[in-house]
Amino acid sequence: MMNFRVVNAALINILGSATAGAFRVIGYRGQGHDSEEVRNLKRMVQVYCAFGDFPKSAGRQTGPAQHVLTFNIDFSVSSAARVNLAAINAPGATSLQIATALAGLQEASYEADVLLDELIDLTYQIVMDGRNFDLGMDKGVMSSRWVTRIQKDEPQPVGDLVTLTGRMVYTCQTVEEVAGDTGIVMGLRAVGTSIDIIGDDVEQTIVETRG
Amino acid sequence: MINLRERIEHDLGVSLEGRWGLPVGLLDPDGSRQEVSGQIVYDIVRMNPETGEEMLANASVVVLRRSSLARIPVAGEKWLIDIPETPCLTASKIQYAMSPTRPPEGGRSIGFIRIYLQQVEQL
Repeated sequence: MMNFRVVNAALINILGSATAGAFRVIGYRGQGHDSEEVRNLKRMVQVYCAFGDFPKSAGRQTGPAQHVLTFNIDFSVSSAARVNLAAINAPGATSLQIATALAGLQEASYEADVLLDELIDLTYQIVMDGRNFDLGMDKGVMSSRWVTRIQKDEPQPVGDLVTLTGRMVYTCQTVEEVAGDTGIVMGLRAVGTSIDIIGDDVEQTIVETRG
Repeated sequence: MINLRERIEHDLGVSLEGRWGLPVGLLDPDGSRQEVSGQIVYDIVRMNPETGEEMLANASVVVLRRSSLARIPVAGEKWLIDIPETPCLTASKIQYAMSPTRPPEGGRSIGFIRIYLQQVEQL
């Protein structure tokens, strides 16, 4: 198996095991999502290998090759507006109290922005933690991990929620070995049947052939 | 004899507030409440930009007769609007905020105002 797949699985595993319920992680680039699906703490992180570069070396036409990996860590959040509904709907609340509470209404795009900032922060802290320098793998599998970019997109009103997406670009290096043709491994095949043998009254003789 | 625009405005009393109207509660930025009747659309058809397929999005829109309102909502103001959870007179009410990302539509000549709603949660 190529090492980029090993690193990919390790990155997903590190993020997935450190979520502590603050977000969800999926290890592939999913199709479109319902805005309700990524609301508040259901915010989602999608990790996938975007591309890899193989710097060509004159002295290394054969054998292991350096592989510079680029992973996209995509973020999706959605949010509703927030306001102190308890104060507004309190029996006996005066107009002044209601107006004051209403003035404190936080727009959904602001709430989504806060959720995304928090998600970026959490993810960065996990992937750049010194303990995750090797993503929990053996020494020498990968090196030079780095977050090269953090990007936020425009907030989009989708239905009666606001969604916001963003992206973190994570790079690292590994080495790919060429193991050669794996060929076809012939599995053992067993064919069971019974034949009518004179003297075998209960016909339980089993003949097995293996190929 | 009234002119055409007056006629249209008069007809809103039937088309928006008549037997098909649903109760709509408005809470203005000054904290004053008003109950009116209007039309509510709970879902809109949108195009999925990734696939080009049509999809139904939960996006409630309220259409009200301007002349029935004590105060007209203006873009940028913070309003709460409660509507029945389903298009049924006896359904429980659910509160929304007037969307800050999509300003109200309509005008004085046409006589109605269309307000886009956004879900709201406890702060």
